[in-house]
Amino acid sequence: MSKKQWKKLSGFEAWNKELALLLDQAHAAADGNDDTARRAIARDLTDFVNASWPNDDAIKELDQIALATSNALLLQNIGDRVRELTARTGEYKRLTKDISGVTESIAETASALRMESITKAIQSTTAAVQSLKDLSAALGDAPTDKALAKKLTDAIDAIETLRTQVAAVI
Amino acid sequence: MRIARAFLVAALVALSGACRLPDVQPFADATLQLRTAAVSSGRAISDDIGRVVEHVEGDDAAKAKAKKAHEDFETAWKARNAALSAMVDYSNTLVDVASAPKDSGKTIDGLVGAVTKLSGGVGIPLKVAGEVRGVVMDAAKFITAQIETVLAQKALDGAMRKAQPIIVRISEKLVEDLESMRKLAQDCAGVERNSLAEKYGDFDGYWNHFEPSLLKFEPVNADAAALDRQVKLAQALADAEPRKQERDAAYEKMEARLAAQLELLGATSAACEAWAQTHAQLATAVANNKRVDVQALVSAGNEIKGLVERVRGL
Repeated sequence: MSKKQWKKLSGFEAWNKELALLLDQAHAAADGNDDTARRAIARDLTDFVNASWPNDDAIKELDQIALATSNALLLQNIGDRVRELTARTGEYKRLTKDISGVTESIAETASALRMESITKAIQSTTAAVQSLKDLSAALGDAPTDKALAKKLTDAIDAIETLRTQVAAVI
Repeated sequence: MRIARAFLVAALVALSGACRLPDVQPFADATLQLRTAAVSSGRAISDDIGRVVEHVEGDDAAKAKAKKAHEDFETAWKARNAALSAMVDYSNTLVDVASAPKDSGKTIDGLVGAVTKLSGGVGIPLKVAGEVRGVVMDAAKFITAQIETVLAQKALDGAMRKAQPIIVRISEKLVEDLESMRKLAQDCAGVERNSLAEKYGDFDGYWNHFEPSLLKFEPVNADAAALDRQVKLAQALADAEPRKQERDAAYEKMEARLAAQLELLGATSAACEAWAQTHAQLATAVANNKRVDVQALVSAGNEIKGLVERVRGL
């Protein structure tokens, strides 16, 4: 009987017969592997409780059987799903170890790159010194040029001192 | 000097396309959001199973099963949280490596400042010093940044190639987990629905049976006894209205929580797939020196952020 026809049912005999049909389906679903079927029967059993009438003691007993069976099916599903999750846990542990290994190796690279940047910065001062030397060599013999050349030489000395100091720090 | 500077600028512009790193920050942000979503989903399902333990209070065998499921879920979920924390560390390290060239620029900027100070100290006219500094240091800074970028690119390329199969696997496992959790949410809601049926079952039968009689009643041609019965029935149903509202609110709350959880689990699952795909695109972009569109991942992240807040609110 479909759930729509339940509205026509009344009395213990009719509801008892209906529950027996649902319990047969529940047993079949419990023995099978289809969680969707179990969930559907569990819902039918819940709906049975809401629809059964009148609410005398005999019907209430049927309701208790329906609820216990519905809960048993749902708990079977819950247990199965948690077992699925537990079964996958080992692989997560391995994957976590693997990705942590990649992170460690690249973290070392990041650290090396930062050291590299300081080294390159020192090299850049070498380039600056060379450029200043080239500029100094290109200057002529005019008194103003000679004065500038002197200042450039002082600048080169200062930058070389700076470079030495930075190199000493690292 | 101006010609040299113009040449240098042109050379820098030409070279700037030679090597660049994709922006990995959105990927790191999305990884953090994914972890938040997974943690929230795990917490919500754990709470659901915890409620199942309470709902089956009177049935010792059912309670023992529910308690075991709750404990096993908590233990299992810790491994997921650990995996996603490791992924957050990984993505943050990618950002760290990708930002190294920019940081080296800052290091050189510091030296440029020191050189300028020294130049001023020895009395080089500011105009000359400025131009010398501008050309030489800009070039040095750019070249250094390029070298750093190439080194960072190689490091990122190697790491991301190694990480890609791990990320795909984690993503696949998470999607499987989220499907299991979608079913768990439905089954836990089923037990809660049973608890509500037990609480309001009497009332539902009563209401379902008498309400249609009241609505279908035709007062025309009805005798006095039938009219009196209808008045009493209407009064009984009116008296029961507060309980009906309480019952409806309880069901609505349970169904709203289930709907929000299913939405979060679905969105997190979609974000997992987008996350693994984006990592693959980033890895290709790093290897081939191309840009990558991370908008889909950013959108997925924004969506799950809203859903996490909704589930927490319920």
